[in-house]
Amino acid sequence: MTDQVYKGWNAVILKDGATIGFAEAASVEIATGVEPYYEIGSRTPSTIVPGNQEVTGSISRAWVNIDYLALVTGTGALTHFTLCFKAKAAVDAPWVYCYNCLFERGAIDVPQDGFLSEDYDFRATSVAVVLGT
Amino acid sequence: MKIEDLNRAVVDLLRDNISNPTSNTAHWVYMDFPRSDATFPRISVTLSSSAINPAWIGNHMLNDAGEATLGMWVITTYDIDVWIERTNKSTGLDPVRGGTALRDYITDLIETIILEKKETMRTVHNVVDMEIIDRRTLPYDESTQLFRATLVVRITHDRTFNPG
Repeated sequence: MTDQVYKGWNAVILKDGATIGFAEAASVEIATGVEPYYEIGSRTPSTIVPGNQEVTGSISRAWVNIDYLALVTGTGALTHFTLCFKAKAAVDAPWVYCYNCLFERGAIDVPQDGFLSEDYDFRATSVAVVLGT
Repeated sequence: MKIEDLNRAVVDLLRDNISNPTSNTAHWVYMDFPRSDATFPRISVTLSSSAINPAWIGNHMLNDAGEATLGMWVITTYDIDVWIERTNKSTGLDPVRGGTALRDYITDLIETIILEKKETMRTVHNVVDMEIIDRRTLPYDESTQLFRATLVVRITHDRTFNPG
């Protein structure tokens, strides 16, 4: 594998295997929730204890259909899905899988003179970072 | 949509919706900057700039054939000039207009068409927006005997490429 640098046009975002179109920006954040343990007599932590893992992220896209807003407005149970973020569609590039995702927030933006857009925050139960194969 | 196609769409929009108010009934809307020996009155459409930027993440905008390609936003700016010769007079208008009055009458017509046909341009040509961002009038040019007004129109549209 040769080291490569990518830009946005190389990236692909998939929801349950289908491309999320019209996305302008996306992010994934993985927090490990580590906590430092201090003992008396030391001003530095004697150990750092792993805490809860939290996987969150957001997606912004042009507002062109109801596919994603419908996932946060239903009155029944929310629908789980898997997200995959790829640096490029081909192999030998970093892929990030977020499993059992739920949208925890959805918003639309309707400016007078700009593009109509929608923004989503999601939360996942687990994450996997792999080299695309 | 390629620039060449957009040029044609803009010229056709004006040709189809604005008739020449003088006795000259031939074509009078052109995609060029007129020579001094051209016939007047005339509307000239000149492309002044075209900025192109990535539209979305990834290469998934669909082209006319339904194939996924690289999508780009293109913001194209046109200068639409109205040229009136000193001797041009309107026919069939009350009052008869000439000079600056005829120039402003035609410029008003173009403004109206640009704003009223936004939705048509969107449905027919997939133009996202068509805006008038400036209107200028120039002093009478003694050497050419021409009155001139310029409308600056900004058109936002998409264009697809196949990056391979």
